Amino acid sequence: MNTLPFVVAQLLALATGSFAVGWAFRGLPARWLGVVTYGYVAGLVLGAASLYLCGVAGLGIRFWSAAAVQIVLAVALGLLNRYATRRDRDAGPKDVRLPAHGVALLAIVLLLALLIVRAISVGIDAVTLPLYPWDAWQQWGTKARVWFETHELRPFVSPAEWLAESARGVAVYTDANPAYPPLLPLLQVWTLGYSTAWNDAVTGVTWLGLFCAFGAGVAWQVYRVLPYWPYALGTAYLALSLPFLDAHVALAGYGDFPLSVLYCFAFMSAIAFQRFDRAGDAAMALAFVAMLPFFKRPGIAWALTLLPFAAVVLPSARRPLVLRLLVIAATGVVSVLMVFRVSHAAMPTVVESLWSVVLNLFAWENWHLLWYIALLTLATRWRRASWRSLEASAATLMLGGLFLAWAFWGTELYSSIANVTTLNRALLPFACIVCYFIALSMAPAIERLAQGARADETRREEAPVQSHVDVAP
Amino acid sequence: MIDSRTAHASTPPTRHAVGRALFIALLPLILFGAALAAFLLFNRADDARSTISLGVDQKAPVASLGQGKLTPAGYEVTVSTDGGVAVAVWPSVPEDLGARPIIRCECIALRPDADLRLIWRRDDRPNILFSARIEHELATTRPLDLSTNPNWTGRITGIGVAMRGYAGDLLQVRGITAHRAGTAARIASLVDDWQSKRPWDGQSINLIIVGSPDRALSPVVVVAILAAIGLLLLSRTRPSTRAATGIALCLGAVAWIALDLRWQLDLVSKVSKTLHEYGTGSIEERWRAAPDGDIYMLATAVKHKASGSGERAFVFGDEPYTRGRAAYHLLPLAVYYDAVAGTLPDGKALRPGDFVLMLWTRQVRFDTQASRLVWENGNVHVAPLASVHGMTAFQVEP
Repeated sequence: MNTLPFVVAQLLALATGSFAVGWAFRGLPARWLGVVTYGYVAGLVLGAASLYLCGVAGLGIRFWSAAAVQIVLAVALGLLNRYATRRDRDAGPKDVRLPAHGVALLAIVLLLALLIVRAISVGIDAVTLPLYPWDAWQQWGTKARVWFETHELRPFVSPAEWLAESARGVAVYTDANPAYPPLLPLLQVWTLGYSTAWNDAVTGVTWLGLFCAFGAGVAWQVYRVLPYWPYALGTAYLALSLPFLDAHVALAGYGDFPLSVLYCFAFMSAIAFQRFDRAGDAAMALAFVAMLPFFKRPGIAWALTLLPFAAVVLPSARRPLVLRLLVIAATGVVSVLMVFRVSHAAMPTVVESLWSVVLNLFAWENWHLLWYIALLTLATRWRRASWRSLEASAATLMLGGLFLAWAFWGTELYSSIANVTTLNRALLPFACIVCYFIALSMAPAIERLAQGARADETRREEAPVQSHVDVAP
Repeated sequence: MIDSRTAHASTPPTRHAVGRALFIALLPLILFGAALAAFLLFNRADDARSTISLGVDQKAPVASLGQGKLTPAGYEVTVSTDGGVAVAVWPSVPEDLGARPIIRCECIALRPDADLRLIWRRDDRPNILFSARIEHELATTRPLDLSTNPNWTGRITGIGVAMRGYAGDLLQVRGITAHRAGTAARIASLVDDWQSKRPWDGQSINLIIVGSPDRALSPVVVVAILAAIGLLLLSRTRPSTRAATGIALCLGAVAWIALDLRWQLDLVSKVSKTLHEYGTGSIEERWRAAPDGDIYMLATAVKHKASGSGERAFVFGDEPYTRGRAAYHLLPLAVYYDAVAGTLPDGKALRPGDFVLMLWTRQVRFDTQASRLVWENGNVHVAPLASVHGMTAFQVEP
């Protein structure tokens, strides 16, 4: 098998994306890591968007024409980014790196080893298995295959429309969800590069790439908050070791994981903007939020959960009040919708769905101990940060939780909670941001710990010398 | 000025206290891990004595209904065209099989909704065939606990596996193991459930289960409880805030990594299974090796026949899985199929030159005499193109 077409596609995504986002991160610690992680994800989306533009413009779904469009788009976005973030040049925080010695160094080695083993484990499955899980070949891979093999953006319609259109000689297609957004299938087409034969196992390369980019992106954002590599890598490990996330990479082809990566990147950038007040972070947050609806329809709702960060335009004294009102209003609306839906359901189903949520969050292997730790963090954090000082990130988490509650008990998904077809998949984007939020919440304690350990080490280093001087006379 | 004795003496007790607190916090997890390791170590020998395994060889099992053959993957029984059942039986079994009511059947029904049953006979009622339903997903079966089944008693004289399905359905049998009931056996069974390897299946994208889904106790809950006990014990040692933070972090990391190593081992076994099943050959070889390899072959035969001038294909089948897979493999032909409801089109919608893939279905029949496909609202003249395991491809003729 000639792997060059796939490698070229991945490298082109990395290069063009890095150019497009590069200026957003100037002056930041370990900037290269931010550039390649955000750049890779942005480059993939640019590639898929370029294929779409070529298809719509009648140039055909072809790699090289899309690559040309992608390069033009990347240059334009890069220059726009450079202009928009020109004031960030010297605004980066000082790199006050905490040194890692001894146990911390051992932790770095151990974490890296665990992460590499995990990437290899899920990676082999991702690129060996032909499209395996249900929706991958029912609604995503179908479109990718037709567009790749026909080189045209052929329309997908319902079975009834297919019969009518096809009788008139129009080339149309049908699948399980013909109206789903085109970005994800085009991402799969992009992954195949300039190859000419459909190979659905190779499309998993992008999921593996996103897995690596996601881990590195989380580590980098944590490192910006607390420049201590053991902690940054520990957070990446926390996120990448979630079994449910791993399964979505190994069984590549669903849209939930790419959506989660983009959502988490947007969330982290929004928090970074709030914390460091840099235009580059705002640009990244806006760019990644804007991409969400093009992956899956729930992307619209997830994008709306980041609305609290818009409160930054308000005077700081009014922000907590506005955020509180937003959360109260959302809670009211969701409660009404849930009560309406649940009141029309039999009680055993309500109990069943609640029990299913408990089992999936706390008993099955989906999330390891994530939700236990989240509850513990919430309990300890609640004592320090009160409702009156509500932050945008906490408000986003609340809105995310409300969105999930509405999806589970306020929509037609309600009946599918007990049979677990959508529960964990709906939770995936939320779980990713919860990982980062836990890391942020614990960062001050970790910083004290690391500094204390450093001070102990210094004392131990100094103590014998001093005593030697004292004792000698 | 610092007194050298004080300077040296002040550090070790602090580190010792932290070390002691860390040990106390980790103690529940350590004790549990040690108990588990000891059980695994010492129970294996006993387990070997008390478990009865019925394997697959030249003598048994035999197909009492359907067509059977011994293959490297196990004993394969196919539902024949004149009946809807395939049965593989071990006509001779150890005398004390009846004392082991925990039964695991290592068998795979190729069709996900096939009705799979364990069947057995007793010497006191030799004319009656007893049965118990075996729950199964794509590639795994759940163990059966027959300890409360009134029919699993006395001397068992024969045992087997039966599958009800369509003609051509395949059942792959690799063996049956029977365990004793009782506390030790139940603990052993629980531990087995925890460490049993589980390949990817249709549910893996929605729910992660490591080991058997039927375990009485979840390892995640057990580890969470042990970690919580560790935190409680830690609070009793009254460490400094900084030490408590560090120790709690260590405890969380150990608990997390313990669960994650188990997941990692499961992932390794999944990778190994994937490589064994699909290999690393060309994508066509992997499609052929997949569970729907037959459907791929059939779709390929149709695509070879297609001239590339806008032919259409229709997929008729009762099962959403086979219907969807056939439609996927037929692409980029313009394929009609109803992914959700499986409704069939009006016969007038088909025209000469169209292809029809008839999968396992009760809605459509092929009239061999008249060479016509007949369904509720359709009746078309066709020519058969290819046939695999009861699935057939046709081309519509004028």
